Amino acid sequence: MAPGIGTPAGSSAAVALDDVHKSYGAVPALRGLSLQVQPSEIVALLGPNGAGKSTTIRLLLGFERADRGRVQSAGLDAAVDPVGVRQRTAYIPELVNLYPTLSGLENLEYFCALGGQQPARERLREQLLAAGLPAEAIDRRAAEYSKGMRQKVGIAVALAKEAAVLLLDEPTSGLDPSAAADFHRTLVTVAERGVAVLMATHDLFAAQQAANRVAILSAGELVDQREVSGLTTRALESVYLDVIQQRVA
Amino acid sequence: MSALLLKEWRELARDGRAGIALALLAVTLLFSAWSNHRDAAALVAAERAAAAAEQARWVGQGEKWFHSAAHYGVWAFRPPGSLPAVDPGIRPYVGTAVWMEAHWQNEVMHRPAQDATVIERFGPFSPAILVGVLAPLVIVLLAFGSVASERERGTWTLVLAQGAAPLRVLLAKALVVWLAVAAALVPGLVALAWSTQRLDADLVRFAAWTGLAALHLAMVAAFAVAVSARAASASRALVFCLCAWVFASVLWPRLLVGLASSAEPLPTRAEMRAAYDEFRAAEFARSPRALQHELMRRHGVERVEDLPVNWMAIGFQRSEERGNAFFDRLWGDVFERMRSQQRRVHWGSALSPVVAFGTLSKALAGNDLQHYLAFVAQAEAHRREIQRVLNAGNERRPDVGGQRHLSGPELWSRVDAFRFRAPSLGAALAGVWPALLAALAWSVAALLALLAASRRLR
Repeated sequence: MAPGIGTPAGSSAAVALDDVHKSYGAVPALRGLSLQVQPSEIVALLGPNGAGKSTTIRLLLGFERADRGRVQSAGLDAAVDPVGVRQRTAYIPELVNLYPTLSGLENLEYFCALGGQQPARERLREQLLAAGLPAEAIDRRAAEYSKGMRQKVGIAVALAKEAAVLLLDEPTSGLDPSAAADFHRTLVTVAERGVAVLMATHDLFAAQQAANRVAILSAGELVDQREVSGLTTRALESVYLDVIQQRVA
Repeated sequence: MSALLLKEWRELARDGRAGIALALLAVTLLFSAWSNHRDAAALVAAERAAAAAEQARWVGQGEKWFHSAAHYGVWAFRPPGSLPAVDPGIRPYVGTAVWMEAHWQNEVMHRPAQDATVIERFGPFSPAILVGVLAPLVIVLLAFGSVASERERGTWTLVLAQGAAPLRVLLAKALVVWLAVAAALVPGLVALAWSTQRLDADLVRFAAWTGLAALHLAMVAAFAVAVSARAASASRALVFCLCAWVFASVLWPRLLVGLASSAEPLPTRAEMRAAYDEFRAAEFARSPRALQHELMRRHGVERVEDLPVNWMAIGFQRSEERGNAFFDRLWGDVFERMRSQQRRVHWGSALSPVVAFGTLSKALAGNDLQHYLAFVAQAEAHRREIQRVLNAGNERRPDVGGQRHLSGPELWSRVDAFRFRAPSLGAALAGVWPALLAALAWSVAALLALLAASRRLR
């Protein structure tokens, strides 16, 4: 097991989970998870289905409460002040669903307003373009958007928020490889501005491309975490499969 | 908040189904306002013309013995209310005119419902019914999916993830649905305001009625959004809202009236007739001799012909007073039972905001039981005043040589034309205070429901 596992959350961490337990009925989802993400760091949360990745994200957004342990994001306790946490946290779900009768621009305008922001429309257009949405689609109704286009609006929503923490749940799902690569580059740029990024993903290539560190979950436990620097995608895949297979064995 | 409202408004405006429902509501209210104004204008004109003709007939009845005039009688007509085009209330089911004559307090007659055409018997189509019952249904149709559909569609997670206070989002949703329905009602309300002004009706009461309607619809919008936020799915929210609407608008009002009638049954027409007949028989059996002897003793004369007063006028007045006491007891009991029934209905507002709205609407429109009984009381007071003036006007005019004195227009015109004075707005509302309290309580409960739903969404 790599060093650092189970370390208590440090005060400088933007995201900190400390000995977090969460069960759904008799089924444990997380078992003593401790994990930190520092500002300017991108951590990829890897693991098979049911490992607890999405539960971790939901706990960090305050949508769920941990049975035990402490969940902090952007300096706030997610169980105590979930609304405050969400105001300082940007989030991109696996499937971005938009209001079909509103245009991409109107969707972005609304989500920004929910977060208390009212940027100028020109600024919002720029953000949609930066997220990769074609210019001619910006004023079209979202009902006409492909899954990838909706995902790009979701990315624009998250980036427009300029939050201290960015939580991603399979964010490149539905994006073509080129758009996914653009998105990974964007993530690096965002992190360089001091944002802490936690990305739940199955995509080892994405993790290798964008993350500084990977944390591997299996059956609700953090079984490995290591720096990505110097690892190729193939090496990362090898580590991942070894860890998971050991765990299963 | 404005951006939240704008988004909800855009969504609603671009939803074709919402547009159709709102347009239908707008047209229906406008048509109802026009149709009710037309009927009310005809009623107002007819009531005024009939009252004027009746007074002219009374004053112009020529010379006759005063007691013949007392039986010649006169009609009192009930005006069509303070807001005749807005809410006819119980008017179609109770009488609109009463025949005022000597000795008898007659029942109010001429119920418009008796003359209703087959089409009219399909049900009332008043603006009050549309605003109190139909508009809430439109609100339910617009709001049942406001949160539940978002949850099903997957947008709700993203909404919450932005850090918005759920209460603000729910308030925006309720506010926009309310505004949309209110906007649809505006043309009809403007038409009703014009009608109110045109019919010389009470604009202050109309303003109060409009405020009541706004509160009622806001309450429904808040509840519908709260239900949508709490329900597991949009279809469940719709089913719950529709069941609540059917209970509040259809089942409970009818059940309530049935329960109130059972708890305080009114005497049957046959029982009333029997009491009348008994009193009448006792009056007819009464001999005038006792009165004549009393008057002869008092005036120190030996013969009735020598009396300086008209013993018949005095006798008629005494008969009136015995009748007054009898009718006060007989009708007083009936009216008290009616009031008791009405109080039970008012308290029934606690289980239905539609009953609360209906009760307050009728009170503001001057077409509830309180106004009806005020008319009955004023008409009866007027009848008694006519008898008192006719009898007193002849008390000092004894018959000479068996010759009856004739009276003329000078005596008839001592009685002013009957004019109904509706209870003041304050009195009208004080008379329905349980419903007023219930309407306010429902509004507070709706806000609390919204607050509770928002807390669960955190």
